[in-house]
Amino acid sequence: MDEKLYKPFCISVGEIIKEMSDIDVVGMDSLEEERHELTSMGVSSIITFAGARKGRLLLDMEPGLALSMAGAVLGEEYGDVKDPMVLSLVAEVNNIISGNAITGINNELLMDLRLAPPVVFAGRDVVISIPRLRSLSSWGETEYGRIRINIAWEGGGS
Amino acid sequence: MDIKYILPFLEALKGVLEQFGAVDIRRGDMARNDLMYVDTDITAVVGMVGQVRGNIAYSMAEDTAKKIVSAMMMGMPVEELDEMGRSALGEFSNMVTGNASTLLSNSGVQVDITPPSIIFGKDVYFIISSVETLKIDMETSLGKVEVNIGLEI
Repeated sequence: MDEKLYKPFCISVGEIIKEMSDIDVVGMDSLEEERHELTSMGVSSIITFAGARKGRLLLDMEPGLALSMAGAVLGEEYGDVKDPMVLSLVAEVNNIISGNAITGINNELLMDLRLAPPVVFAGRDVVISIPRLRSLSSWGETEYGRIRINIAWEGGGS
Repeated sequence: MDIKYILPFLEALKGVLEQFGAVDIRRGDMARNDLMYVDTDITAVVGMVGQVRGNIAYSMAEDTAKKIVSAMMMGMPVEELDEMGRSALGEFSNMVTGNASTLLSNSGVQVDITPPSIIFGKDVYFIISSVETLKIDMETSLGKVEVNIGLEI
């Protein structure tokens, strides 16, 4: 595993969430391989990218965290993660996290990666499968719920 | 959204489905949405970067997905969508979007596609574009495929 392809995302999550919503993310300091599909914790956002390599970042969080972030950033109280404002906020957070990480990777490794727009979704018992991509997950905790990122690169992360 | 960006996806879907033996492929209902609500079982999403950025989502019932995977595997019966089946669905969405990107390139719009994601779950609310999403139902002999096109143009 080339840490330069993974660590920027882990670092970016804590920095961006703190900056945007003043919520502390604890953890995100280790990566574990995922061998199966991922079950969404409540609200998930996927950003894919292409350039010298192709890959994908999944940002997944418990509903309480999505609602708290939306409340902190938008200044209103939300009670349903299916609210378009909550979904849009999670998508935008992922866009900034991924943009920040990809800028760092492009600057350091000259990979000319470009981001597709974020996809965000919420529902019950949602399972995400990314065929043929080896992926690594990192978990974090906040006072409002857990958060996970899952990073995958075509051809592995070496 | 200009029709010149939409037709390549529908042509590509028709071409790929016909390649796997589907017949009676016709366009059904169309709608513009900000929020995409999916009440089918499976959604395959592929991203696009380049001169046009966006996401394309193909949603279908599990039964339709099994029929498509079976057709891709030369008629082999598909009882459940195991790892091979999910991989085949990813390949299906890759083929459709890849062929659409070739058609777009032929008209002077250079794009590249990103890895597919397969999302299982009914009653799911999606946003795939910050602009708008165009939903087009494609009726086929293998079942209905709902195409959602969210391009930032």
